[in-house]
Amino acid sequence: MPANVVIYGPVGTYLAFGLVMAVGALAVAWILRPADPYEEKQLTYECGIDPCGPAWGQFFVRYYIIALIFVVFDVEVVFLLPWAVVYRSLVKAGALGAWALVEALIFVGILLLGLAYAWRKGDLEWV
Amino acid sequence: MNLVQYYGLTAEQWLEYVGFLGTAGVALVSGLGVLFARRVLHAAVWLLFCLLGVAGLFALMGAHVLFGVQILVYAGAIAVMIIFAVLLLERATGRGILSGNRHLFAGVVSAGAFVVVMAPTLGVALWAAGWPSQTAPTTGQTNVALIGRLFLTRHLLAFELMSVVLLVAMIGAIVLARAERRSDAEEAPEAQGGGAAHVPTEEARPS
Repeated sequence: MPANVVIYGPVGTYLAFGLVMAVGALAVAWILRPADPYEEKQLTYECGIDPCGPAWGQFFVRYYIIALIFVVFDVEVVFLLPWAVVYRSLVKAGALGAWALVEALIFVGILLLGLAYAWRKGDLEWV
Repeated sequence: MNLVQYYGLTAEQWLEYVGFLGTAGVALVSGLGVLFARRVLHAAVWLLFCLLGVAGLFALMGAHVLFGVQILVYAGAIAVMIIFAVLLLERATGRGILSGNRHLFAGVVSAGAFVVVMAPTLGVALWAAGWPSQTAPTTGQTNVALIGRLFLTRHLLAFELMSVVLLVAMIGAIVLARAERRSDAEEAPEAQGGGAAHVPTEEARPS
């Protein structure tokens, strides 16, 4: 088996290229552009109109509950990932395949109760 | 195997050293960034990079599931939650929140105690394993598939119980967040005047 650094080579290459592209684009622009700042140019760009209010945005509290629910389902995905990796081989192997599907459905079903609770309590309503 | 060596290490080992130094460096530098950032929001963004650096360390150690957990849950969800919470607080005060290191002495003492405990432990472990040490030999399966198989067979009950734990966490979080929101609504007139005054803040930048 190859070393882990080799397994993750594509990830590293992708990261490196991403960094080079992002930093490179900024660096080239910094070298090429004429430096001529004036007040209108220094304004924060906000869809072409003059910005209003500070850039330190204010989030609606309602997003917080949605973010909490997101974290829980994110953890759920992490637990389903190893399941998804072996699922195909289990189906090919025979009887364990259907059982694996039922197990995952129970896992997701229990969590859906929580989503139903949030829905019932009106936390998913968009005001 | 007859591998070409450069200065006593194979190309793979060199890559491993470079990868380790890179990811550990990212984790360390951004960890210091969390400590020394003045604005809490900047500290939260530094934390994101620190978590990604730790994910890189997991990847190098072959802990593929932990790598996925670190990226998806910690860098993806927890860091976003923290940034959310900071922005919600800034909403309450209307100003940026600043952090300070008021407990420097206690921090240095506890960090020192940690080093005193960990350094001999790591030293003994390294002395026993040799340097550079090999990771445990793997079977043909990847450990992601192995963990998936164990979830569905031997540790099935634990797997399903995880779902119950997550359900409790979700409902608990919703109930607590709702309670906070209700008390927010009740105390809103006071909170704007005096409630947030002790939080060190900086005047919002003029727009």
